Amino acid sequence: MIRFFRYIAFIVVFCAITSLSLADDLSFQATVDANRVTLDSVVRLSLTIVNAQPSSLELPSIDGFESRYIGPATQVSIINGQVTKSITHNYSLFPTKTGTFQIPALSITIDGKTLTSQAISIEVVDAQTQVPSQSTSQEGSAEKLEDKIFLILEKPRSDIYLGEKILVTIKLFVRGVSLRDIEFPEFDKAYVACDDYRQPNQYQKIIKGLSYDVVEFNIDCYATQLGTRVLGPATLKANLLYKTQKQRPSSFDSFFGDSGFFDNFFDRSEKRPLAVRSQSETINILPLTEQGRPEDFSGGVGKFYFKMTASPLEVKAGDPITVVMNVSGEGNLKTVQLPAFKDTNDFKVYDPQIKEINGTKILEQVIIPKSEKVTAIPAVVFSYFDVGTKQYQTITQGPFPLKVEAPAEGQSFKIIEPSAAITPFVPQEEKLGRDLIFIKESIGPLQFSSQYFYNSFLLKILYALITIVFFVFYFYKIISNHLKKDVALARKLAAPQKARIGMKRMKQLINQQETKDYYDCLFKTLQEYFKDKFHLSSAMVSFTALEEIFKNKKVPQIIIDRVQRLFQECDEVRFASVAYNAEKVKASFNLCEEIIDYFERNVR
Amino acid sequence: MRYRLWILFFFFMAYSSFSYLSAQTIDARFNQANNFYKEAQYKKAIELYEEILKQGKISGPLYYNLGNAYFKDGQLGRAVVSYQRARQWMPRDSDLKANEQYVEAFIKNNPQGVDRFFVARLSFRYFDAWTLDELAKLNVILYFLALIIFLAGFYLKKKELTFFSLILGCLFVFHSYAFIERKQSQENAAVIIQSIEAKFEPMESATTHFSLSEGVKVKILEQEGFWSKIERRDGKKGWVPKSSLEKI
Repeated sequence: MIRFFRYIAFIVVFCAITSLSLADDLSFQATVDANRVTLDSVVRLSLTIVNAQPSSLELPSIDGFESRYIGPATQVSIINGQVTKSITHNYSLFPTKTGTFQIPALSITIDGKTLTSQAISIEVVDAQTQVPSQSTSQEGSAEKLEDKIFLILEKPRSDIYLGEKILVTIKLFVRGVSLRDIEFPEFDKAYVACDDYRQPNQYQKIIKGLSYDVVEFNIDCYATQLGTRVLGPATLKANLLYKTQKQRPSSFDSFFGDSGFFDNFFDRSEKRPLAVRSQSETINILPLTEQGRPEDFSGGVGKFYFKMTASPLEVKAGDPITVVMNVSGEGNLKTVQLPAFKDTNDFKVYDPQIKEINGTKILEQVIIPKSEKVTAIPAVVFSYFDVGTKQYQTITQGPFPLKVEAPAEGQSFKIIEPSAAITPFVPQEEKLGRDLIFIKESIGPLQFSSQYFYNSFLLKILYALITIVFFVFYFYKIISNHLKKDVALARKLAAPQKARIGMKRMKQLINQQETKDYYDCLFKTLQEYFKDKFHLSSAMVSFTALEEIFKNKKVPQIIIDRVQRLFQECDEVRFASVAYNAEKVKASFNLCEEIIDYFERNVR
Repeated sequence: MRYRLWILFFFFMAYSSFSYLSAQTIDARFNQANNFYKEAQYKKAIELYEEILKQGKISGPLYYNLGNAYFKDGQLGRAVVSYQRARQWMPRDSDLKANEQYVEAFIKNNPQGVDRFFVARLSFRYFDAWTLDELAKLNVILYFLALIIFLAGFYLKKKELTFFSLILGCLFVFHSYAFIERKQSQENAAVIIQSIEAKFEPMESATTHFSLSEGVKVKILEQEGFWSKIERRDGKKGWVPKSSLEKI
């Protein structure tokens, strides 16, 4: 009968499966999630091919949009036993200008059959224009993304001198769109050397009645090559944020009456990398005039101030004097060389220390008069090219009158090393070098590459072992507790164990041929067994009482007779001193074993 | 019986001698490789370090030195891979941390990870200080203690012990989560060629999604033919040729 039903079930399932047939209607459809979008929104274009799965589709360039492939999505549906498979290739379309544009009808060929989608028209309006309103914002000229985001590179002037410092300004103008992750602009620096960018400035500016957010990047550059050169174009990379359209109206919207508030609140956006380029500018890099060029000109171009101090001016021969020279101003301060002192017959000179603090270049040098005959620290001349006057300028500091005494009697002339007491200590930020820390000399404890404990079989064994041991102890305790409460069950469970002990003792007595003791033991074993098995008191264990219980438990009569026979044999030996031979004794033992076995197996 | 004991003894001695000689040879090679490194012969040092690895023997300092040699030889990607492997053996080594940071500074366009809540950040820092083996051992101990103390509380009927075992159990769950998270989510490969473009699809003609520089660590999500789908630290996903990556 069961087999028959199995056959029926198999036939039903087989029919159900074979009734599913693959639909063979090919179709190709193009859909967009919105037909009217703002310039800062992204349109999701879905190209769905039903019952064919080409791996990818080449999307032609679409006027007014930049496209990006998102990925495919497959769908299988079974309706009335007909299986329909479809693949949807999704693209993001980023509007680049306002106006009405068309996604052309697209064609694909599958198995020799050409499928064509319908053309879709999309209207792109300015971000400020509300999409639901029916205003005709596009009546004017179409607005491009380039009108909303653009970069302008500014130079201070066209003619600059070699080595002159110029401030290059790059301004990013943004209106009505959101930019994120704005990077510093980059431009070709083949003809100029530049410092790092200064902190960018942000402000708003109105151009032709439109308000723009402006980010201004300033960088100091120095002309390094002569001739007419092109500066820029500068390129700035950023991510443009596009609002994605909501997929489907929710009950949430209907509850709040499509107020738009929650639309804005839960708006999601998509980033598109964008590179904005500025115009380039021509600069004419002029050489420095040779006319009137001082011999000690050291390359300073700009407008500088030079000052020198020396102290102390009253010393003993061999004592140090600290000379400090400061140069500040506008220009190529980094490349300016200060006129340090050199060893002469009058002075012992130490290497200068040069540093730049807050736009001032400072030179500190220790000089030591060698004899009391020295009367002055010689004058120092600093020359630079002034870009304002287009002439070389020379600034002279000194000479500084010096009073040098002879060293004390008995003291020979010696040059004292400059100490902290004499040279003013200028705390300097310690510049620590960086490099790899050296290799290790010892290989350390070696292991086989496959010896990972966390992947090992031992770990699994450990977990299994701990778990098993835990559950053994846990359930042992639970069962013990239960047995303490349920005495009847405890006795019932203990009955076979006690019987086994009794049987063991009986076997010993058979071997010792102690017949009387054997039957005593047999009687006690049976009595104890039934007492525990049926949770009886000692008084109740007579055959008559047991017979009634056996009958209630539906024990076959043959078993009851056997129990009765055993009890009789026990009584005959114990009370009537009947002697049984060894065979009879063994038979009684086997009978007892059978009875207990029967009760264990069949009687609950 | 005595005969069997002798055979056992003989095998034990033979195995010990072989292990000792093998360790001696490895030590000698390691020292030789170190000498090559000191003489700035980085390629030779790399060859010797790799030879030791081919014997199936590994250690933290071995990978550390190999990372140094690769970096000095200009192979930034392989240096990153070696340091990552060394981390699995000596995650608390300060030299290794310093070198990793130093080398990372040379990686171009290395994206920053996602900002995490400070508790998560602290947890990740704590778990980063353990090797996976150490975490696995700690978990076994926590599991054993939690169960044994629970049993003690159950047998002795002491609620304090049961509560304590519950705390240990929570710790075990916490560490187990960290173990699984680290095993599954760790960046498991690095770019070993100078620059590679990650595509939207596993084909040469596919659109480029983003580019990866040498040394950038990525997570391999799936593989198809000669291509691997990877996820960058900032969550961007793309397909790159398998040959451009080396698994950690």
